[in-house]
Amino acid sequence: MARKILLLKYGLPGALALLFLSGAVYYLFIQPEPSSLTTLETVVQPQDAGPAGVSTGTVLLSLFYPAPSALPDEPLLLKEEKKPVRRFSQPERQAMEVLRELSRPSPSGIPSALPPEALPLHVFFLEERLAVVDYSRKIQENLPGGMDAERTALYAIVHTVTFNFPQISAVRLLVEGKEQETLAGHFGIEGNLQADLSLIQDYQNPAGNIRVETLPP
Amino acid sequence: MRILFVVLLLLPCLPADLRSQSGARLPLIVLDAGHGGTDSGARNAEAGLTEKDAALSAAQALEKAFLQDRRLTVLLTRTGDIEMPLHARAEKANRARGQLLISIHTGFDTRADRAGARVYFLGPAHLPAAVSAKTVTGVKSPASLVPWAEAQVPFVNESNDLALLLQARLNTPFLSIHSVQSSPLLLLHFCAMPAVLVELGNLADPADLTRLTSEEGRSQWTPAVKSSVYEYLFGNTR
Ligand SMILES: [Zn+2]
Repeated sequence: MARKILLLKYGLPGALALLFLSGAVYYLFIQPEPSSLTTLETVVQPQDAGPAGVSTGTVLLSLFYPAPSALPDEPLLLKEEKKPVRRFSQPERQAMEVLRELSRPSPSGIPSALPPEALPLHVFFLEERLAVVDYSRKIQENLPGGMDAERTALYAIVHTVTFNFPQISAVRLLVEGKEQETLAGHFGIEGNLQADLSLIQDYQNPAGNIRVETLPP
Repeated sequence: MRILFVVLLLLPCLPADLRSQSGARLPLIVLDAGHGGTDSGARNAEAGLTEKDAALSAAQALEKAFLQDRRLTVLLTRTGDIEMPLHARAEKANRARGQLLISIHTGFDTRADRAGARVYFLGPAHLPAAVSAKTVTGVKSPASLVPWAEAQVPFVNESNDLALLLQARLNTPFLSIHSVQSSPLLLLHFCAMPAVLVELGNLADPADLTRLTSEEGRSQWTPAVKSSVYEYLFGNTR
């Protein structure tokens, strides 16, 4: 009897306190920070092995790859594929991560529009909805060449950034911190580059599932 | 950014006496060999051929073929393996007041249906948004100062005509059935004259490679380019 009373006297408040404490610990240390990627579909997964407090789980993002079935007289188009990417609370860090992924093959096995060695060095989100993306020189040195390859590489980057970050409507591309006239001799990159929906394969197909709401007005 | 603020001096283009047989003044055309220097363009590593070299050889073969006819003069934007920014190429062509510009490139695409010659021009859809409305009316700006980015605006229709002629004639020797395409190519934006970009074949295609690298191959398509230019400038192919 005395044992029952003791349990009631100390056990219940103790359990409640434990519950409160664990909730506080979860709220303060474990729960992911609210991120600007509010429109993205989060995949609930165990915490990733990245640096503590930086990466928590993965997020499903849209990446763009050369579409395999372009018609003979059309420029090479881009195809959207969703890929789980390590999640970061900081949008610029998240953009770096998704651009790193962009240099790898797509989930369905399409080779990237970018050379595998071409990696982003810095990403800055500026006011006026502009993202500055600085790539290593490998993006120029190792691009296979030709108009189609250059254009798909360019717009794979622009679309991957503008589709996943609604706060961004244009991309400024730098190579090792410097502005370039072109990436490979054909298309200008000295200005701000905006998404070009005519280059997306699914967009031309009315049945395609395109997230127009994330595009600039 | 700097070129957006550079302005191009465009003196009113006096119509050249294209039909004059006196030899006093022959029209000038500009041939631009794409890429150069560290910018090799497309490359076929197996064949050991780069786009910059193929383009220069093609431009030089065309120059020779045109000069033999003595109907016009030719300016090459580059004659060696040098790196040359696109705005510098356009500036050279604009200063010389060329009657037209053909930028020579090659493609590289391993898909089977990608062989042949392709001709591109800067269509209204790819003009700077602020000026695209002006173009369709066909108004040629009398202004003496035109921003670089708008230099091609008054010449869109002429560039389209030249592109159609070249594509139609090049399809025969390259055994292709391609159509002219509009593309936002930076060089074309800067050209104050009818201007097109030609991909003279695909470096990944063995037959196109032969057309580009052998004397016999080149003799198949140089007449097609010549007759297109003559028809465009003089209204006849001879
Ligand atoms: Zn080229």
